[in-house]
Amino acid sequence: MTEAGRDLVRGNLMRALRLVVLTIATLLLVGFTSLLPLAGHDDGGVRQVVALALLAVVGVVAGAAVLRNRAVGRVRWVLVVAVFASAAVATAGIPGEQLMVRAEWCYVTIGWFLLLVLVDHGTVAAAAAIGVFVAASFGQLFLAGQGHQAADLVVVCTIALGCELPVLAVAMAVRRIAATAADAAGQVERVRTAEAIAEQVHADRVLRYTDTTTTIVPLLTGLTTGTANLDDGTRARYALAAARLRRLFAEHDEVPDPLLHELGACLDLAERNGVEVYLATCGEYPTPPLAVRRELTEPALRLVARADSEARVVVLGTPGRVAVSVLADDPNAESEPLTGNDVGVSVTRLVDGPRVWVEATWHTPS
Amino acid sequence: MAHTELTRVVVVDDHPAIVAGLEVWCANADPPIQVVDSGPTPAVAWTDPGLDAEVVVFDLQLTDQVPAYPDLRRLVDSGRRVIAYTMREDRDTILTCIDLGVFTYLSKTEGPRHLVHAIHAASRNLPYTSPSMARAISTDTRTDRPRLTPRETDVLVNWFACESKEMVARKLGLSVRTVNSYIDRVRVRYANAGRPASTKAALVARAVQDGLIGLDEL
Repeated sequence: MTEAGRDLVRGNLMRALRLVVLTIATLLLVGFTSLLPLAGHDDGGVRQVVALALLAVVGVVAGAAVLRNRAVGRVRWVLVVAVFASAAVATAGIPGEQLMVRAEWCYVTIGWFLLLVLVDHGTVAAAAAIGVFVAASFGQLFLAGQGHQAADLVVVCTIALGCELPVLAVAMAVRRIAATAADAAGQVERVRTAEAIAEQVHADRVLRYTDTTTTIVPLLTGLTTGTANLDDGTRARYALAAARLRRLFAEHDEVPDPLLHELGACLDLAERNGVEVYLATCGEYPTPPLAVRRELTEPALRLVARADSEARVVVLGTPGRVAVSVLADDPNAESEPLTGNDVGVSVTRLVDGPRVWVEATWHTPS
Repeated sequence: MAHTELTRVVVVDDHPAIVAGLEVWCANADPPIQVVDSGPTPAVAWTDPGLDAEVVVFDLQLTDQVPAYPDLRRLVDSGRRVIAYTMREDRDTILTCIDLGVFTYLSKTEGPRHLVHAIHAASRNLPYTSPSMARAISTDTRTDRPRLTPRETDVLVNWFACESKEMVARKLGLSVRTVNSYIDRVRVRYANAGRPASTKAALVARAVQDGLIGLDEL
């Protein structure tokens, strides 16, 4: 599975989790806001209103992202600051002995808003933020000289964390499930790709050997059954088939210049049979695809297989064009038909007495 | 043309077989060519009877793997018409020799077809561009090289491919004379470029005199 696939799995599972967190955070906010008039704050509850308003803003911004199934984005860190600021505003100015009474809503609610903002970013970040908040709450209580109320705070925090931490645990599980699913899907995909490549390679091979079976099998059959009439024409067909086989084998080699390598394979047999072959390149050229290389080397293969004594084979290259030029002495040149091809290789032939000059040219697609 | 007088050649080559083959080609040449002396070091070209030879056939690869450029330069600087005749076919070596001022650069695979023509041309201060020179020039990428027109490059490349000016002419729809003039004009522009040498000047002067190339083209 790709990166996108992994994100899709995680996104679907995580969205449900974020909706749950949004719902709980919203309910807590609405609930505590409605209870505010009953709390009897000295300042008429202005700080609490500001704190709740801050949380409401955070809830709207983060909620919008959750509902649209988007990440909160960079603004999340502003929102985290806003949540902590809300907690600070809510608890500042409350007399120490009143902390556990009037700020209790805070201990229950803040954690959920931290989760709302951070849960899609990472469980570690969310856990750390909640941890910082809990630690700060205890610190504030002790600083206010209310150490004897710590047990109350422990109870409140335990209840809050008891609900919040399972959400974090689920978030972690979601991540792990997504990763596992992605790995499994990736493996399946790799296997499928490998199968497809193997099929393609096999099909190519079958096609290639089909080409040769129509030419080589009858020749071999003729040899084995003793029906081959080994006149010059048959010998020439054997020579051609042998050169094509050599080229076929050369096509499997990993070399820097496949065209020159395969051309060399085409000429090899003629050279062994006493034809003096000069092979050279002139200029630089791109590597043409296999089908094109075959059409480029074919005229050289045919001509050199019939050459009497010498052949001059040159690969001529410019960045947009590759040509294989062959000059050879071939007394029967006129009888050789020029064959067409469908890969854009054009072949020209010039006969000058016993000498034949054939050039196969391919222009790179512009 | 009444160029029937004997051309005298001295051969600097350390392979007896090469010298023997070369003597046979020269003996059969028309107009006649005489190999007056041969030897494995350039000394044969500096002493009688090699000193009076009109053309020096010089193997670049004499004793070791390093091309004998200093010996070649000394010969060219003293006004000798040199044909570099060697196993090497790489572009840089060929372009270096052209720049030093050789009349013709021939690889040994080109010998049978081109050496006699090249000796005749050199003896008359005429350019002779071998196929291997044509390849080197047509693929020259140095920034200070003489510029070639696409047609000139085409002619050079085809000359390298088929070694027959008649076939090049037929393929490109030109006359043999035009093919020759394309090749020779490029060669003369190369003689006019780079390091000055009296042999290069002679080649250019002869080309201007024959109307092959105008002064404004140089």
